[in-house]
Amino acid sequence: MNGLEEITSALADLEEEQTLQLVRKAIEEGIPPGNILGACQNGMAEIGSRFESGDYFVSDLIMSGEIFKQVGAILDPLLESGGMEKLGKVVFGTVHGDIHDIGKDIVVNMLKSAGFEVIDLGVDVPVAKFVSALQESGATVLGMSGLLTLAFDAMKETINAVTAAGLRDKVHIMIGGGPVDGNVCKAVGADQWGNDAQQAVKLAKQWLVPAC
Amino acid sequence: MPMSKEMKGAVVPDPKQPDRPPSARPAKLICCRVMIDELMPFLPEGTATEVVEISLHIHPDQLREHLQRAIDASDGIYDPIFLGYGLCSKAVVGLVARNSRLVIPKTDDCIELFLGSRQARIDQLASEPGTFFLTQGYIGDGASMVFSEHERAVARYGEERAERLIQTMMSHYKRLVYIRTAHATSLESDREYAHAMAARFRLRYEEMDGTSEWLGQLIAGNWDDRFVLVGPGERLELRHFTD
Repeated sequence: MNGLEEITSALADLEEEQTLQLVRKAIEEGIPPGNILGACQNGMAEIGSRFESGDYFVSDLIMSGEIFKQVGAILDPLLESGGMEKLGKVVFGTVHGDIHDIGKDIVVNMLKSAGFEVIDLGVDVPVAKFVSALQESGATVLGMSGLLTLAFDAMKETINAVTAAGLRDKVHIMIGGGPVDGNVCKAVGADQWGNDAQQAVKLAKQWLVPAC
Repeated sequence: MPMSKEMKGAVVPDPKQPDRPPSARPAKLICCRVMIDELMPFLPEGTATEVVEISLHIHPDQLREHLQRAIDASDGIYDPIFLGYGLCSKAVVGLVARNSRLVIPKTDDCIELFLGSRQARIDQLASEPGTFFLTQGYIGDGASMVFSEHERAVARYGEERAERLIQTMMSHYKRLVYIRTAHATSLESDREYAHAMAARFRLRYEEMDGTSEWLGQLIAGNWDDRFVLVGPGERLELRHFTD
């Protein structure tokens, strides 16, 4: 197993200290930070699969987010100085009236690990905050999460406000969360919907990375 | 138990076809453990019942497969088949019985059901979006899912890291509400548990009365617009819960 494979494996096994040690070691050995990030992305994808298959639980996903955050703190400065460009900006949040963040955090982490700059607005996000975040960041992707069917109204309100602000033509909108499907997507006025974090990454790449 | 008694107890009329005689087949209940204690008082003696573990909710696809298998094993033998569930993150979307009717409360989940209405849920969340609800059903299954998740995390990551994880999971919750369901039998010990959890996660503790009227209507066959009823061969769809 080479250094990068070791990183993937340690992260997939949720070995916090070992992952961080291996990342530092790889940097010292001169492995390009982009490759180290790639190894971590593979580890995160493996974690997603283990959750799907029932081997990992919610606390494990949170743990993976914590480790990935620390890896990001080590790699980010190197990636920036190394000329690594972000794939694009995404504004993300759980709509107002809903405080569920676990699913949202998983998507945010996966988007970050895939190379997107994510402006995470948190939970119970007021309509106006979504709009101003889009205006200030210039992001062209908006992601909204909600776990109850009650969230549909808030999603619709937010999209109407994005339209009223004159941004709708410039912004791709995805929604996700337990009760969402294609009909809900159409009803609230979003462009696409997703069932899991991989789908969110796929959509963001479709929209922001022309080659995909 | 003699079959005639079972049938007598659970025969339910078909409000979609009032001219037709009631179903000659006995009803069956397939329900989540979280609501069995509240359903029991309404069930005619001898009603066939299958209780499914709460933990299957973690993976809605797996819960759906489990429920479909349970329906398949009852299909055509029982009618209607009551589902003691809500939408539950779309776990029930796609379920179908070929030769029986399926009836299910039109609700996101059991919290709404025990609060009594969608509006009651909206009111509760408007006053405090960060509310964690507990009922006897959750506690009775050996601790609610989040809190038992903590025990698992301690075993895997040790006390300190597990604490960090659980605090992250609970970080947006401000209030814990223990819903006193109508047929709760372990009120004192539940209250003690709920109090302890509230203190542990620094949540404001409140209690409120719940209702099981919705479940009573399910079993009694009073299926108004708070229920989804699909006929043989018709799939449960998300739109049934949102229209």
